[in-house]
Amino acid sequence: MNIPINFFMWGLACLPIIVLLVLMIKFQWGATEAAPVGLVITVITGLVFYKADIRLIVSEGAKGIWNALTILLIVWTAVLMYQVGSEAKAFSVIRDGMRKLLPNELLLVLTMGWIFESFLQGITGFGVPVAVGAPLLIGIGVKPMWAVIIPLLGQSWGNTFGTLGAAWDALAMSAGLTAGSKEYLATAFCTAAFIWFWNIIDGMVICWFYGKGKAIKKGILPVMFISLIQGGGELLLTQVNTTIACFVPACISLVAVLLLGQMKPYKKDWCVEESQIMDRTFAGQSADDKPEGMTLIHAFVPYFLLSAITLIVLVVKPVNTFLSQFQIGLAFPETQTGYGYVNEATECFSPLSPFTHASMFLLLSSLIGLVYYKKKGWIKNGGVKGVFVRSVSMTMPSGIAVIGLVIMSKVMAGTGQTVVLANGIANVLGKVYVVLSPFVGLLGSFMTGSNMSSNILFGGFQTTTAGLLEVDPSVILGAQSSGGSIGSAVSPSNIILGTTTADILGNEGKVLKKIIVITVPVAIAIGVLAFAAVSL
Amino acid sequence: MTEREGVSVEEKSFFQTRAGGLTIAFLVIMAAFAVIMAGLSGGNDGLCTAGFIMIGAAMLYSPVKVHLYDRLKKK
Repeated sequence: MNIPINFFMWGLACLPIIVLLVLMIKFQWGATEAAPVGLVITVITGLVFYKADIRLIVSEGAKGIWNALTILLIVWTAVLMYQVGSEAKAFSVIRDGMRKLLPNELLLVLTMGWIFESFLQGITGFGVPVAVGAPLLIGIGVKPMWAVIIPLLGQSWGNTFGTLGAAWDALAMSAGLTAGSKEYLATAFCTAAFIWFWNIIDGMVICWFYGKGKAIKKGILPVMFISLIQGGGELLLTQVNTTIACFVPACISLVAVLLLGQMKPYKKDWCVEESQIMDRTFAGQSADDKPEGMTLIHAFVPYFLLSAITLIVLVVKPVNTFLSQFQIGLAFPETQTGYGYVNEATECFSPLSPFTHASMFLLLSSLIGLVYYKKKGWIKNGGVKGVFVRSVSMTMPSGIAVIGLVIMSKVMAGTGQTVVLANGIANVLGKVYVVLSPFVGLLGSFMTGSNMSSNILFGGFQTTTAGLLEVDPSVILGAQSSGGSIGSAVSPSNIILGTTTADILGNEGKVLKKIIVITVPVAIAIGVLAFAAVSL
Repeated sequence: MTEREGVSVEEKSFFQTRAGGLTIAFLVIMAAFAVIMAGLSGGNDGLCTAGFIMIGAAMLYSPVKVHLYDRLKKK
């Protein structure tokens, strides 16, 4: 590759991201409108300045559509699951039941917005915690915008070792780390340590959002306790088994918070009346509307099914091996830019395993839940049709935005813009680059919507840069993946999942504005910690 | 949401709503995807270009409608 890495080319590579941010944050455009503009800029830059041909652009575009479809399958099925619960009026039961179980409202918000999302992230990931969590929070009276922001933050710490360690495996693969080696364990340790820091911030920020100083005071002990289980547990488990390093602590934290809710300081009614995130006028479905005989366990049936199906398929090895053999992938030819940047040919690009994909678990849980509620008489005649009609009308608008964003990231990567972007930062900054190394991971997740993709995209680059700067690659890779984990909270394609299920599509800019002021400083703080670690 | 929106969607004819318009745009992108894959596997640049134009048109439907067409219509 001989793309000139200069300020002009670097600026051009930055341009689509800057335009996207400005349109969404400053002008409050929805992602459905902003993403196509970013895409147009990326395509023009690729064709004119990065010397790509139309064949390369359409090839990367088609790869983007294929990747976007795998994300959209999750959105569609998560919305279907939400609509099943909504039609059966299960959310009013969940709201009342969880309020009884956790009378402390702060603990309730932490459970429904952070701990339950961590559990979902541990097994499913790919945005499912955001899509599923937002309507659950609305169900307990959280305002829709906050119901999107909180799960985005709550799930993000689990992105590297969640989904049974998928993003971590991608980092190890792209950085050439051998499982069990000294470098592998050191990198896992650094990554988990940085993520623990973010995990504490997550909990504290949710408390702050809920009730500022009052909530911090009330919530500091539960947050530290839960974070010790989640972040500390993950840190320990990375040295034993990275596949379950997030899932096991997330499950334990779910049990722990329910026990915590029965302890003296937390078992009484407590709330911050003037909380900015709660809608005090919210009644949801009225008590009279509550389906007769439905208990909290009944209301959670689709979620129990989701957890059980996911666990069986992903953790039971023979089942997983059998179902994983069915794969659908597409062949793509080799393409090359005028600067010699090559995208190698592939026989089976990004294969989709339909039976082990999160959307299949969501679909099965939703359909079984639908049949179950119908049999119990909680879904009336005509309700089933309503569930599907509303699901389609709710999900279609998000499709365009997700496709636009994923194509944009593919075209940027395929034309060499992503490499120039990262190389430019490293070349200019020298050793100070270490401070910004998590920011590169964050950028990768922002663009692709996935910590795993960020690690694939930048894992090799971070290792090379660490070598050039003669610093410990374990620290840099840890910063990369923790930055990627943080970046999943600001990724527009993840935000859209939440705004879709919370029914506030078009408000992605407002959500992004609230989260970006937390994530960027934390990424830089992790960078400072990394700099201190390599300077020791 | 949803019940209100659901009812209005059913009453208004789905394809006259914003969601309906975006559904059509989505279907155009899916058709373009098939055209591009056919073009790439057959080495046919014409098909690739046609798919590229279809994607461009479908992607730009929403920003053009919201930020140009609707604004001009208001004026």
